[in-house]
Amino acid sequence: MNMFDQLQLQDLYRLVSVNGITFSYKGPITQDILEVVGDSLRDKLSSQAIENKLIRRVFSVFIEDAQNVLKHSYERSETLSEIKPGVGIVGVGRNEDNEFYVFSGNFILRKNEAGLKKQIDYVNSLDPQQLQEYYNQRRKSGTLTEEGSAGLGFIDMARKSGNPLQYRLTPCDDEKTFFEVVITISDRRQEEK
Amino acid sequence: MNIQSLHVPLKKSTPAVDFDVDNALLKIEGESYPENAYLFFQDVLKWLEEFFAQCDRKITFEIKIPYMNTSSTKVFTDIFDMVEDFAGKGGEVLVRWFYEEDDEDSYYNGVELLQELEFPKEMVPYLDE
Repeated sequence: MNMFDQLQLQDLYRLVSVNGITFSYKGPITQDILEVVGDSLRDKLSSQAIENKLIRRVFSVFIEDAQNVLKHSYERSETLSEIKPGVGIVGVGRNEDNEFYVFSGNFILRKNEAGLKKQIDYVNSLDPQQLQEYYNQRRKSGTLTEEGSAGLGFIDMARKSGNPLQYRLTPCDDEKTFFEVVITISDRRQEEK
Repeated sequence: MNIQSLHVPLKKSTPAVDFDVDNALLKIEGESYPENAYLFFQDVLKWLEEFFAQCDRKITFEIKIPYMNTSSTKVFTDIFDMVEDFAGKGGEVLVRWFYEEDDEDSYYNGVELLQELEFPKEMVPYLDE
């Protein structure tokens, strides 16, 4: 079978459409790509007359999530430079309630699965006030790792989202697990009305 | 003082740094979401450490960062710890935090970073465009 026979663009088109995906990128995530993609995301949202505050919240969750993939994806891009950016899929969509969601998918080491699960489950168990306290406590006591991770990413995404982080871990083989996460951003102002 | 002013130009994901020794006016302006905030801010942190050790005048910080990622938030936690130390040793300092009027997140981000610190600070609203 040649490549054209295998390329099922109609399926891809349908998947993107039924899931309300506004845009998506799959590949090595470098800081340069993130800046460009982040900008076009903001331009796109601005053109839809969405309020500034919500645009920034979606942007902020998107950057945090994409930088997670960039730093922690098991799959690294083979580049000529010393920096091997993480590979994954990231994007933004709107669900059936017209809420924005940010998503990412990438491989992680299977042995890190339990730690990741524990971390997200803990964040999901906290109410907004506890989340705020936990964030502040980690912000003050934690240290940045060599890659510049503050360990605040999931906590920050959860509090900006106002919803639990939805995730799935699918073991692929002895070594790798596929990690998917969806962060839905509720427009709190609309809820209050 | 044998310390030079520090100027770092604005880039897409890193703020402009404008530290003016003569007026003890230290400005940081622009979005901050580098992949590794310590790599970007290490010169700034080093500079501040030296400056605080030498400065005997009132220092004014003007910070206008509409968005920062968590990595940068950690660095600003450290910067304000240094400011608190300076103030604790009798140094005079004012931190002015600029927030966008129609974005409460940029206000609360400032409140969060500054709330438990004792040095004088001001929350200053502005309107974008």
